[in-house]
Amino acid sequence: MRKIVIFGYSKTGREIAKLLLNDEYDVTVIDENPMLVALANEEGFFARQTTLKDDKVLTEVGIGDGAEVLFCVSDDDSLNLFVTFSARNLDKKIKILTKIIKKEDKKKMLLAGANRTISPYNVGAAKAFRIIQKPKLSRVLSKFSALKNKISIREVVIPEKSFLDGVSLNKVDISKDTNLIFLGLLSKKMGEKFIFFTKDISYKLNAGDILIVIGSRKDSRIFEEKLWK
Amino acid sequence: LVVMGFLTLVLSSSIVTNALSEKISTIREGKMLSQIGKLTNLIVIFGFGRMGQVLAEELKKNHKNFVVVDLSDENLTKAKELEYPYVCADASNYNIINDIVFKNDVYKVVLTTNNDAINLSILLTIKAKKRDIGIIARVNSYENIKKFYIAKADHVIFPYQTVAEVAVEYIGNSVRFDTIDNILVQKESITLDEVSIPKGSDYIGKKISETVLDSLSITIIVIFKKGDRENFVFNPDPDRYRFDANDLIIIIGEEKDIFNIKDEISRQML
Repeated sequence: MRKIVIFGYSKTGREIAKLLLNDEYDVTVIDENPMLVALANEEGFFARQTTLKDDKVLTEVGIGDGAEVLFCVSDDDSLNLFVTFSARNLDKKIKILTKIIKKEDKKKMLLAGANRTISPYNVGAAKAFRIIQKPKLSRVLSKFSALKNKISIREVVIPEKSFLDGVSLNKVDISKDTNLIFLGLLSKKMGEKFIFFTKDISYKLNAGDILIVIGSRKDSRIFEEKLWK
Repeated sequence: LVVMGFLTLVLSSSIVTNALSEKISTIREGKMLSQIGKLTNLIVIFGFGRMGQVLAEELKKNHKNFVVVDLSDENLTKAKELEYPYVCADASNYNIINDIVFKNDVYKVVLTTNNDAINLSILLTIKAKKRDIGIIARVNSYENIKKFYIAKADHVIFPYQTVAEVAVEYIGNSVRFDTIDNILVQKESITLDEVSIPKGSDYIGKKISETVLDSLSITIIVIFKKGDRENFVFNPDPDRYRFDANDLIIIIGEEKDIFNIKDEISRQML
């Protein structure tokens, strides 16, 4: 099971936790507010209250000791910053995703050690804008997602020494023998910059790069298994 | 006597100033309403908090006509600084909705306040009188989503769920396909769009590889055959799939490439 820590059982934290409620993830919630801790417990998550005055609690919940991802999504920006910074000091490799309220705070959070930032208001506004701009598309997409043979999006990390490690994109057809669409990648050496796959792309893949693939769950799994062989 | 006289003077001048500033704001509102009255295809944004501000920025960039309605001084100062048309008003008041929404050429209303009761009240007021105005409502509490649908909101956005979907995709969890658009929001110039092949288009009967779609940097995700939402081809083979009239293509690519495709198709129809 992959160990995930969620700091802040805010509305965002709660929704993230709900999406991760399955056998694949071991989710721990930490929050300063005892009411929210109680709510998380009630909703089936292991949650504990903490004041975060020292790093002990972070270590105890697995930061620097097995936790793979930390979501810093409390409603308090400065606390998110503080926890992001503390966690990064404890673990150089952990993936940290931090919520921001204001756009201006993005740089600060990245500097503190977050790998990525997200903002509910930006995403919400973008969604509203798309409904105005492309009304048909929103309807088609939700219909498409509800179909039986579910198509989903997955981020697949290229493992070391796999058949794609060190391979140039213009020399290999990665979609051969799969029914997957390779949309693009997040380049490790370029700070997870998104690179959209175009026909003439000459990027050399490396272990740690993340491929964004679209397809059925089954097809993505087969592809991942092939990568790990 | 001098002190009394002075006080009277101060008092009366402050009354005059207050009355004057009230008068000015009424004149300003009136002026703004008459300005709005001249606009067509208007979008009304209720609430100019974070979500309203980001939305307004996008609409401005895309040359859409919109007006912002909010009561908070802090939010309105921002709207003023950005030179957006705005009205300072209590949105739960029927007369305000009447003046701004019903009396103008409004086609979309977006409710972005962080108060579900206010959003619901505006929604019901508008739908009771004009059902054809499309309403996009932000919902702030999961438990209220259903209520907004019952009240006939055309679209409901629960930002916390949308952002959570983007977040879990990041850790390699598969996410539903329709969240792709939210993920792409983070990737700047790449966008998801739809292209229809109208009757009479040169594309009909051609393979994908025989059209401009194959030479541009775009990816076809899925084609809904003849626009039928139940009948689709995922990841179509460019050397096999032949276009039919009314096909609906969902593509991802650079905005400018998608624009070029749409442009070419519309020119074929001239």
